[in-house]
Amino acid sequence: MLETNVDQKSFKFKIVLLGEGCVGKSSLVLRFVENKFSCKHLSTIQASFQNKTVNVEDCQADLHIWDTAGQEKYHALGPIYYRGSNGVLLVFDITDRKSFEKVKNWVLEIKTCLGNTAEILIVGNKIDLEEERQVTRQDAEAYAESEGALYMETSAQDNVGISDAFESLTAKMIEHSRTRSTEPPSTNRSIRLIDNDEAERSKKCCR
Amino acid sequence: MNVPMISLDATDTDEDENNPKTTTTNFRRNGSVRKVREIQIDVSIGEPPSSGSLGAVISRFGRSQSLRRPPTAAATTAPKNNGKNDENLPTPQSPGSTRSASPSPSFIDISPMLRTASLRVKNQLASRLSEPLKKAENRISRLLATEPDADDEQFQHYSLVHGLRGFNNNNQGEAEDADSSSDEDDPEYLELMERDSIINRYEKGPDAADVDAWENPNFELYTNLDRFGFVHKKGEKATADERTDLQKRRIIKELSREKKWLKMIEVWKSGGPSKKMEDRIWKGIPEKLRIVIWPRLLGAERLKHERRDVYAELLLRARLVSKDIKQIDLDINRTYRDHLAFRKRYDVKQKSLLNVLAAYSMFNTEVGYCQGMSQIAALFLMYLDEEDAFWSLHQLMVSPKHTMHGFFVPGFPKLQRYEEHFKRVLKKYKPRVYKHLEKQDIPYIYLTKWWFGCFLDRVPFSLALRLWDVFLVEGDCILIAMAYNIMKMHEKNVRKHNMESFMEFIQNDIAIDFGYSDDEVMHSLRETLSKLKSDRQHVPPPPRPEDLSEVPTKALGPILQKPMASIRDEIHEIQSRRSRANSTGRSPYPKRKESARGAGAPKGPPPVQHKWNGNASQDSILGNGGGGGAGGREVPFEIPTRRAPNGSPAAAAPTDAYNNSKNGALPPSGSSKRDFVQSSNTPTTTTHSSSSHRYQHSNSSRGGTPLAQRLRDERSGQVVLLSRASDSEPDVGSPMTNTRDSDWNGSAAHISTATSRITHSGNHITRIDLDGDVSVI
Repeated sequence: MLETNVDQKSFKFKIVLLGEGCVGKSSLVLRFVENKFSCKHLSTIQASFQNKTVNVEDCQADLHIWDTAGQEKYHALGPIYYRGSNGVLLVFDITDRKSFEKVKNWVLEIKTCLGNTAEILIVGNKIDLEEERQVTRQDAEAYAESEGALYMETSAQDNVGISDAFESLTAKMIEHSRTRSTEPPSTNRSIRLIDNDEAERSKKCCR
Repeated sequence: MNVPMISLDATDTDEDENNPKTTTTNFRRNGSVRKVREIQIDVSIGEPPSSGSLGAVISRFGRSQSLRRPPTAAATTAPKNNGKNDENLPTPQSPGSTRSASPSPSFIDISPMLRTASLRVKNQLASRLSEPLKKAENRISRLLATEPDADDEQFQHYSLVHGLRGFNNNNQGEAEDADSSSDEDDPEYLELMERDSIINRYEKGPDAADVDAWENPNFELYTNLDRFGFVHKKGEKATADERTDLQKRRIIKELSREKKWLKMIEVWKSGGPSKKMEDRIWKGIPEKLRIVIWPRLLGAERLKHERRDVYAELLLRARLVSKDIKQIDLDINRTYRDHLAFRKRYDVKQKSLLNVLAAYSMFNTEVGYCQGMSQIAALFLMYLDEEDAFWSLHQLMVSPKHTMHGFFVPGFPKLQRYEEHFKRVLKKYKPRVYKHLEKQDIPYIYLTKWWFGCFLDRVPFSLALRLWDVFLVEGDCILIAMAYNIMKMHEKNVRKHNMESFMEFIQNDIAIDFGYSDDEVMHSLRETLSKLKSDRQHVPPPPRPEDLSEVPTKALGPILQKPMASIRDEIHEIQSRRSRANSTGRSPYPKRKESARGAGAPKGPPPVQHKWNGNASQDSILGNGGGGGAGGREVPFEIPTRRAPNGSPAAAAPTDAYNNSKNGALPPSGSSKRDFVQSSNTPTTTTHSSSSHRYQHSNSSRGGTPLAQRLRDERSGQVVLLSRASDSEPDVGSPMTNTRDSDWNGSAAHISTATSRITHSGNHITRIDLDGDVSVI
């Protein structure tokens, strides 16, 4: 399916955006895909899908971007969204420490559910509100490093760092995909992912 | 200084207990109007407050759990480093006490618990706080200097400045650097502040200066308003039937229909709609008549009359305590902002939306507020008033036909059940579509959005309205039928799409232009539905007994059982835990609240007092609630409704409840009403919530005569005798010197100021509101 080899130049990746409500997940996607910023009219979207092709170095990657609802209550639907993801974008709002704590929860959950199959990029959004910052860059970077994740800061409003963020995640996914595909040549990854997911689901029920 | 301390012993206590008929007075009524400065003392920390750590001590204090320390232990916490103050003038005179002090000795004897409230500790704390207070004062003065407008808040700031100034004058020197407690300390407090500031923004409305410009849409972008009130971008393609010729025909048709409908409504006395009416509903309820028909179809109208006060009472409480306010506010900012009614931030309809959702979050507590509800409530509010919208939302959640509760309750049990059934239906009737979707590995997540809002935002609005008309009549079989109908009508399209284009098609394309006229869609839907019905496929099998319940299992509106007074007490308690932050002026909100409280003191207003411009009925409630508890007003509340999972065979037992809900009603409110607030003259009046708990206060001293007051701790039965210098009315004739003396002998404390109230909260914090300040022990 998504298996590739070192020479492959075109990829297909599934990316899911997770994070607390109103941290700017949808805005990031909107900015990235359509280069628009809308600070209000977006109604809460329970699950939406966007598609965009990016070029990283000499490779072309087709990104399927899944945007999710932020409210805690929709957390339960998380597994449906991130099942089979190659990349996870965990978004938090640098002016809201709580949203950063939420990212930590997501990292735990993603690691349990997807294991090492997905690359994680942590995004601190809303850097246009620098003066209200509550989470320092150092903190976030240190945390991301400890979890083996990337960290980037963006502003969907001012269009800062967004394509960088998606591109570096893509680069990492390409690298990941190449090493994976050379390592276990016969494994069908998608099946393995579903297994993981099922295991996690039962775990969630007990919680 | 010469005040003798009289310890109340057991005899006194008994005597007091035998005397329960003394008039209970609201403390706040007697309490001074002056600024309340709050000081917290943590007895349980058990370390002498050394100069440097004092701030930390105080900040930790709010969360202290172990309070009832033996007096000896408490004694050791008495300040040791404040020796010079001990002998002479231990009392920092707050502005209040100076004005109201009485020459007569006052006594107070306090239960062992209260004994720990050493005046010395208080003095010391007061003096240590003076520096931060001064800082706050400066900050506020600056604020005032730059913004001379005398609006409400500034006036309150102003009064605060005076309060602080007076206080500081009496507390010169001993500036101690106390580091500010961190704001992350007390999540409850932060939440309270956040909630309050949000509510206030809605109260102020759209014209307040502090609405961020970005929160309002750029009106120039919009020139074209459709008949439903949605604004479209210039040049944006109008939906099919907005074209002029069609529009004319539609108007003529609708006018003729309206007449028929009006006749029909006249004879529609009760019960469900007739067959004829159902037919007509399938043709679309006339736009003007949805205001009447929708609530009646849902049974919301009847519910509203049966539970007249419930909404208002809920709202009153919800605005003070709902934990969902923040999320609701975030979503209001993104709900139908392209509709005339909701486009202006904090405007009336946005406020109504906040009210309905906040009230509902406290009514059906299992659901609370869940994203997706804002669209539904907003849709109702386009046609109905707040209260109708509230009950319609409720009926939509719980009535057996709709049970949207199952969609919104955590775990989304109904979503799973319906999704499985939808797959079955698709597989059975449109196997090729089903196979295509499976082959393309297209997940069914679009169903969430389809069903949670009954296709709102996913089909053109005019079609969504038609769907809602029949959804209200037919119930949730419409959800399955319409989902299938979309696949059926667009079969060819769907089978062409791959994953990417399918999502685009489902999310956006058919929402802009469905590709068929509304009437065609409705016709097809009706056929589809009757086909499904005849095959008994229109609804999924009922939930299994082990599934999560799709109907409420908990009592509705539990908050209604809580008197406003105790809600206010709790809020006050949270605030006083944070008094440290207040006095350093870190947050603007507490100040406003304190002064609001002071200003209305004769009426005993809540610490958080909102101005209710929106809803006339609330004023009366507020007024009633002012005099200690809810002032004997009956507040109906729901008894637990144990209802069976919808249609579950295992749940045949509670049929009566089920039948009730079948009629769209909850158990009759008559039987579930009870007085929870008795007359304020009975000493045992206020029912106490587990977490707040007030001393009864018997006061026979009016007009400055120093008389003993009895405070009774209702939980322990202990009685505290409190002698007051005066009623602390500033205009009491004689010049009075406040004599607060402390005869500290290790276990007894004397506080001889006018005490307004003693609150004893669930987490073992006892708060004494003195007229000048508040202690928490």
